[in-house]
Amino acid sequence: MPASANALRDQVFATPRLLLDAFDEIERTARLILTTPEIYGTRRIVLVGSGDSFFAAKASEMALLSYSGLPIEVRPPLEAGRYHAMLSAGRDLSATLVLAISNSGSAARVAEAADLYRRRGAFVLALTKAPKSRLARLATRTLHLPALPLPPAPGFGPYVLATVTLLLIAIRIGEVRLAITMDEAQALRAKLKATLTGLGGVIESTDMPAREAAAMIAGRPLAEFVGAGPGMAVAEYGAAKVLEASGHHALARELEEWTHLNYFDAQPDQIVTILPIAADSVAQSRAVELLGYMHKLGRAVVVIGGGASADTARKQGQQVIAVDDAVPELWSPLLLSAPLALIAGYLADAAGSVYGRGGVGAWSDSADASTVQQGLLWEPGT
Amino acid sequence: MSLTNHQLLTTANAAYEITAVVRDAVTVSGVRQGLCVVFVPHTTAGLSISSFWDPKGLEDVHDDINRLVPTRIDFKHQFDTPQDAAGHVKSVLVGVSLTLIIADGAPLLGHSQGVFFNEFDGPRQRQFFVKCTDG
Repeated sequence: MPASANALRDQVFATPRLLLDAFDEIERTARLILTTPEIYGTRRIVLVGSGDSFFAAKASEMALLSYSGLPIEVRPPLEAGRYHAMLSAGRDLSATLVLAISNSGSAARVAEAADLYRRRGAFVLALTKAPKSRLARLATRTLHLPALPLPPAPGFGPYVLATVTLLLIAIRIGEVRLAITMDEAQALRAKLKATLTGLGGVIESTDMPAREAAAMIAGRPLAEFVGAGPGMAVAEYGAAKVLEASGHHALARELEEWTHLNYFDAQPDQIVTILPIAADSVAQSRAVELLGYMHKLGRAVVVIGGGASADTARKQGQQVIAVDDAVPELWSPLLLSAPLALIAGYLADAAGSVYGRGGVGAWSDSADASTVQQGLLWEPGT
Repeated sequence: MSLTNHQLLTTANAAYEITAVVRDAVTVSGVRQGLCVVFVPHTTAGLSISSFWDPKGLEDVHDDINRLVPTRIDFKHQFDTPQDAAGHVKSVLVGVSLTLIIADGAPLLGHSQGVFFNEFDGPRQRQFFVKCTDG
C-alpha cells in the first residue's frame, strides 16, 4: 500500500489484516456469549444501531434470518426504544433478544433503546468495544468487541467488525438451534475468515477504479446510492461515508423505491447513481431493468459488483467496479462496501474536505460527537 | 497385521451398517485366526452389534437411546450444540470400539448379527478404523 494522506483509505487498507488477527477471538466470544437456554428462549431478534452500526445490522439481517430460523427486525434506535419497545406485548418482549450495537457504546439513542427494551423484559446484548460505556451498563450483557488500532477516519473497520460479529452470532444461533449442522457452521466460519482475506484483494483491485468514480461524482452535485436486500445496507453505508467524509450531497434508496421516487428527478444529468450488487443477487433481473431506465434518463451510473448488472452497464458505456469474489449475496456487504469507502475517501481528499466538517462553525454542535452522544435519555411518560 | 481407515458420510442420527466393510477389511488383512478391533475416533458416535434383519429394530435402539438421553438445552457442555452434548453421553454409553474374533479369515458373527456405526450428532463426515492381528 503506497503512503497516503487519505486517512479513510488508510483505514480501509488496514482493516482486513486487523480483523483476521482478531477473528478467532471474536469467534470464541460470539460462540459463548449466549447460553443454550438463552438461545432456545429467543423467539425474535431485534437489531438496533445508528449510523455504521445500523448499516452493519442491515448488512447481516438476511444472514441472521437464514441461519437462525427466527424472525429478525432491524430498527433505528429512536423508533426501537420509544415505539417498538413500548408498544410490543410483554409476552413477545420476554422472548426477544435485542442486539444493541454501538462501537463506542456512547450512542445515546441506542443506549436509550437498550434500556427501554430491558426494562420491558427483553434480553439485551450490547455489542461495543467499551465495556464500561453507558450502553454496556444498561444492557443485560455485553459482547466486548476488540478495539482495532485503525487510522482515525469515518468508520470502515468498525462497520466490518460489527458485521462479521453479527454473522458469527447468526451462525452460532443457527448451530445451537440445529437449523444448521455443526459441520455446516464450522464451514461457514472458515469461509467467513477466508472472506476477510478476499477483502484485502478486493481493496487492492478496486482502489484505482474507486478513484476514477470519485472524480466523476465530484463533477455532479448528487451521489445517489441504490441497492436491494443486503445491498441496501451497502447503499446506505456508501451514502453515509460520502456525506461524512466529504460533505458531498448523497442519499440512498432501495432499488424498487427508486422507480417510485428518484426516477422523477428533473435533473438526471446532475446525478451519479451508484449501484452495489452481488453477482449472484436475486435482485439482478430488476436491477437490469432499472439500468435501462437510468440509461435513457442520461444518468451516469457506477455498478459495483458483478453479474448481469455489470454486463449491462458495460454495454451502456457506464463504469463498472468489478467485485467478482465468490462470496454469497448474504455476505456481499463485507466486500462491496470497501470500494464505497474508498470512493468517499478519494472524494474528500480531492476536495480537501475535513471529515465531519471538523465540528466547527455551523457544525460545532457535533464536536466530540455531542449531537449523537449527549442527548437526554427519554423516560416513558415524559 | 493391518490397519485400514474407512470414511462414512452420515445423513442423520441413525445406525449405519458397516458389516461388509469390516468383512472386507479382514479379508484384505490376510489374517486367518486372530482379533479384529473396530474403532471410531469420535466422541458423538459409537459402535454396536445388533440384528440387521429388521431396520425398524435399529430405529427402536435409537429411539430408546434418545429416551435415555434426550437432546435438551440444560447440558453443562454448551461450547457446541445440545445435540452434540447429548451425543457425548450416548457415545460413552454405547462405546467407541468393538473387538471381534477372526475365525477362518472372517469376523465371527452370529447369523443375525451386524456391525453398526451409530451416529448421534449427524449429519457429519465420519471415519472408523479396522485393525486385524494374528493370534
